[in-house]
Amino acid sequence: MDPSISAAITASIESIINTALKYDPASKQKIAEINDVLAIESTAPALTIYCHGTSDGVRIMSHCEAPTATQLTGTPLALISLLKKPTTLAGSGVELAGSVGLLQRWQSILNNLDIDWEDAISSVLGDIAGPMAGKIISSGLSWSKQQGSEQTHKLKEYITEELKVTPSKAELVAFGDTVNEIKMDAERLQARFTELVRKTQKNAPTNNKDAQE
Amino acid sequence: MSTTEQSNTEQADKESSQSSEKTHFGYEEVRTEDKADRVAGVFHSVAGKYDLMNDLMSGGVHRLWKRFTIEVSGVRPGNKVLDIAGGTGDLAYKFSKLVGDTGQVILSDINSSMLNVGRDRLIDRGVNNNVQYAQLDAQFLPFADNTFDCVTIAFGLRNVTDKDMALRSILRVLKPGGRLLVLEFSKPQNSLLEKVYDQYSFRLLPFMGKMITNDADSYRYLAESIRMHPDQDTLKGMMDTAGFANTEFYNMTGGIVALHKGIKP
Repeated sequence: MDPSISAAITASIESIINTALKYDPASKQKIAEINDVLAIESTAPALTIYCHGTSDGVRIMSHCEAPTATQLTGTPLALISLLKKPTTLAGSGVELAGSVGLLQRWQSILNNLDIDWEDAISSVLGDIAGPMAGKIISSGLSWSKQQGSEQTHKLKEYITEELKVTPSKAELVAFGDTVNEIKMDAERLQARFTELVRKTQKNAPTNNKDAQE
Repeated sequence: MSTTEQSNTEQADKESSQSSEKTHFGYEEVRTEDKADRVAGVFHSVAGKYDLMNDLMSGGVHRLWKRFTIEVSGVRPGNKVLDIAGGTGDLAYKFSKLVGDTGQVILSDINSSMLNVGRDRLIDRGVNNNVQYAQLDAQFLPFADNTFDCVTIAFGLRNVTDKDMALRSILRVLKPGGRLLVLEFSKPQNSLLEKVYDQYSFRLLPFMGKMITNDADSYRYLAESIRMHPDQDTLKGMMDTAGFANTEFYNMTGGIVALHKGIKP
């Protein structure tokens, strides 16, 4: 990728993050303490960005001369989903190399981000309209989050209970248990059969000998 | 012939030879000793609106080129950095943040008008703890050997009269392991882009210069001097010849600009 393009991408990301961090000084201070470099490599499109903390917020680079402490590799979707579900990398499609501690520090900061929307809007709209607009945005975000959760729940119910195109979670668990039981029974049967075959083969020469005598 | 007479003759020969030596000032051939004055005239003329013109001419992309240069510099807290032809201090400002209180940045330019603009701008932005200012010629750097961790020259090398001499001078003042970064206009790597770029440089650029700084000639010189500047491989070869190791370059915006890097062995 042309360095001008990658520099434009990193400059934009850096600008957005640092603008937001102005309104969350606690997170900004925590980020300033992170000196180690985290590399995030997107496989398609091929782009690696590097980040570490500075007193101004986050520094995002398209080229880094310093050694990286942690590297994450994956598709953009996988990397973004990692931000939403930070507890485990298992099955996320993201590979990690290097220090896990650095990743956990970033994830902890991301989870605890608390942007002061009122302050952010006030700096644009002024002291009277700003707080009002900020409250509307905050309550709007809260409402949309709640609605999103409710809608997801309703959609799940509709698909499983009304359309019956997918099993419910309980049915799936019961099915899984049954499969496990059958699997274990089959293994036991296999073990018994193997043992029977072994005994039969062991006794066979003796029986033949007795018959001859 | 006495020693004094011999010395005078050598001096006369040298002066005669110097006055007959020619170099490029854009497409024009001028006497070597006149180039610095001609270049100075250009930059005295454009200094006041240099930033505005840079933004207009490059569509703001010059900031991305400089951003990448900073990333490749690998400058760390405590480093000493020399920014030659630093103009209005874009790189020096970033370096001053990176080197911190324990480091040092020297913003230099051969042109007093450009240096004054740069100094005022940095002071206005609150930079006053780790940046010094020096009016100097890149061919004759007034610093001790092995002084700097990093030397940068952005959009300045093509205006230097003797580029080889400047490269040797930079190599001398770099610490072993220190790096030189040359950010400069270069040769586009695509023939279509080159044609568009030519039209832009020789038609639109002087027109914009005329409209904004009332100085079309300076911007015509800018376009011509870019064409006369060595291409990527030639400049890399010049750096190798000067004594730099691990030289390499990064093409940016299709090769319109290239960043050359060399390490002092």
